[in-house]
Amino acid sequence: MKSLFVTVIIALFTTVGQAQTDKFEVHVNGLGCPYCASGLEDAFKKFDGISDIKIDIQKGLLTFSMPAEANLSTEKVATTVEKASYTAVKTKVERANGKVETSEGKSAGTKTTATMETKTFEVAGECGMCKKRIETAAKGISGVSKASWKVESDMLTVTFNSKETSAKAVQKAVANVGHDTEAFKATDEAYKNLHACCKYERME
Amino acid sequence: MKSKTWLFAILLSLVFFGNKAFSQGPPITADSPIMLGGGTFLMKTLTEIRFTDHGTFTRIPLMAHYLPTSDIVVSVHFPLVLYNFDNGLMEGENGTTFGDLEIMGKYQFYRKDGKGKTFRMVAKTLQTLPTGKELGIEDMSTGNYESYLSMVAGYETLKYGISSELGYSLSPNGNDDKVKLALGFGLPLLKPTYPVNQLNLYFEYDSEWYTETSGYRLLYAQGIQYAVNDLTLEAAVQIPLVQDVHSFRERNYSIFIGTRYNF
Repeated sequence: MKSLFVTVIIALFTTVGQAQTDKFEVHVNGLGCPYCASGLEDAFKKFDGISDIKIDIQKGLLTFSMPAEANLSTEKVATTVEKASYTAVKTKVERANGKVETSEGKSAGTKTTATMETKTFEVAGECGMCKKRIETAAKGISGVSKASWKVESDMLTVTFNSKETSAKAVQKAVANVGHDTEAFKATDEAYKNLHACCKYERME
Repeated sequence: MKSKTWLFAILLSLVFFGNKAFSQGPPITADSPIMLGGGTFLMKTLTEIRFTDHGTFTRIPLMAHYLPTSDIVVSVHFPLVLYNFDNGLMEGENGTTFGDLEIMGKYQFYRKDGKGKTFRMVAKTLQTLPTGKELGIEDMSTGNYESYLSMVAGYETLKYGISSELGYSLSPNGNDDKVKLALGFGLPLLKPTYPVNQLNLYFEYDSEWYTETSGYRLLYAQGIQYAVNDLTLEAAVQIPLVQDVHSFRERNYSIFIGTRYNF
């Protein structure tokens, strides 16, 4: 009982102590010497709440954490790198809510080319042939960069540019080729057209 | 007097040890095109102790640099000059004076960054005001106006650094008009890491052609720089390789001691 109480207390403190943070990775060009990194670090230290600033000079990689409520954008990161007189090549942020965003650009003001999101949802299927069909349908949508469906769990994981498409659009496309998803049910005709080995149990 | 000069120079360098230093890398006697971010303020000093046949002269500048943006630097250099003439027309003259004040502006007009490397070009102007005594000590205390325009270019990588500067200096009477060309090479002796832990060697050449009074001088400086975390120390010895100039311009050698700090 005592140990349970201690465990609960520790878990409580751990949870309270872990603030929700966004983790940033910034590939920076122009860091030709260690002292250059000083200027870069100083520029980022101005952000309220920033922590764990690390610079790998060999890789040209800047990493840091920011409180999620600050909602620091990748564009702002690129602008700050530019203000420090360097070039942000690629910025990746893992938001506290699990959302992943990346932007690529030479520097501030450059167009953000992608805001990537990864989502997982249920898609009904039965076999390897289903896997191929589901993944092909998902990847056929412009903006989807990765799609992987697991036979064992019936779960489809897709990575897509949220500026170009959405999880719903992916599910719609998958349903169109005959597979029920969480959001859309395949038409009876599409289901009927599936190969015999692909006849799965329809979702409610 | 010599020992007093040394002591003063070393003390000035030490004054800053307790403050936050800015870990610099590039040239010691030459200039660098690298600018380290807008909205920053930098203080630095680079004491020169110059030994000549006419005497020993020390310039201790306090240089205040401000970067309003990432590509502009404006700075003011407040020099203190210690002079001790032990030969020539001014033999026996010695003392301490405020030297010629300098106002500098730099604008970075070109930057090309790559992974672990950068190439930059900067336009630079340096205006010297006649706030010093008319001692005829070049770049220290002449009591004359001087305008200098130049272009600084540098290529910095994790393996080496190269910096160059080409400029022209104008004086009202033309006596000190000259073309300047500087070339510096930096070589890190330790693997580049951050936080900073650097030991760098510098090889710097500085040449001057006196266009109105005819003359040429080529100086070579061998420097070493140590930077750890927030502290940077640097020292160099500069010797003339070629001195085809008037005797009052001749130098035996110079010693540089510097520190750089970002407040």
